[in-house]
Amino acid sequence: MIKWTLWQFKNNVDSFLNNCSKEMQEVLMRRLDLLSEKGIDCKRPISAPLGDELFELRGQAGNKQARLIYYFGNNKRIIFINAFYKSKSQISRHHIETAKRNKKIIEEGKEQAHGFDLTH
Amino acid sequence: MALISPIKLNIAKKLEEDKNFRRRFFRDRAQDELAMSIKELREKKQMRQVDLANESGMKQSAISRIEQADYSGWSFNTLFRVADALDARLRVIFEPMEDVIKSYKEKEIITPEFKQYTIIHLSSALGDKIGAEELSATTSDRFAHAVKVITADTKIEIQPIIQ
Repeated sequence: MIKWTLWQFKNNVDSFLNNCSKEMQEVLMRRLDLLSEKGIDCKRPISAPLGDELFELRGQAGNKQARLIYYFGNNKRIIFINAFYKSKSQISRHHIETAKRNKKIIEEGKEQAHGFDLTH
Repeated sequence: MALISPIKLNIAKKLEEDKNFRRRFFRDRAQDELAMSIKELREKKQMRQVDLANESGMKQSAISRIEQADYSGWSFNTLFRVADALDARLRVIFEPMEDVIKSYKEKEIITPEFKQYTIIHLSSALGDKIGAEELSATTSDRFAHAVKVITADTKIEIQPIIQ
C-alpha cells in the first residue's frame, strides 16, 4: 500500500519549524506525523478544511496558534503551501491567497522540466 | 531551490535518543487521537455534543472539553461512559517502546519516489560529476552513485535509512 508522504513548497515548513519555539516544533512534528498516518482521515481538531481543496493543520503552544496549509496531490502526496502564525480568529485572506498562488505554481508543473510530474 | 521537497521529520532518532521527548510525544499524541476519534464518531452518528452529553450523563461543556486536543483531564471511567454512549469499543494498547521506535525507523525509510527526487536534485547539484554512464544506469544505481559522490566529496554522513 502506498504511504502518504509529506512535501513542502520551497522549504516553507522547514523554515517555519526552525523559527518556532521548541514547544511549537514538537506540536507540529507530532501532528505532521499524525497527518502522514491518517491522510484524508485526519480531521478536527487536528486538521480542518478551508474550502477550494485546501486544508489547515493546526498547532497551538501557549497562546500562539500556528497553521500549515496543505492540499492532497496525486500519489498520496500531502503538499504544504503556506505556514504562519494565526493572529486573528479567522485566517486572513492574504494567507489563503498566498497558499493558492503557491499551489498554482506547483500545478503549472514547473518541476516537470526536472522530470517530476507534480500536476494535481 | 526545488519547488517542492520532502518533509523529513526524523522522529525515530529523537524518540530513540530522548526519553523525555518520547514521553511527551506519545502522551500528547494520545490526546490528539482521542479528541479526533470521539468527535469523528459523534458526527458520524449524527449526534450533537448535547446529545452525547445526555446519553453519557455528562455536561455538554465536558464533551466539548474532551473534544479539545489539548485536554487531558479525562478519567478512564469518563472514557468508558463516552464509549458506551457512542456504542463504541474503547481499546487501550501498551506497546514496548523498542517496537514503536522500530516501526518509526521503517516508516522513515526512503521511498522509491523520494529516491527519484533525490537523484534528480543530487544529479543537478553535482553537475557533470554524474557521468554519461550513470545516465543510462538504473534508477537505483544512479542513486547509489550519487550518494557515493556526495559522501566522498563532502564527508556528509548518510544515515542508514536507505534500503
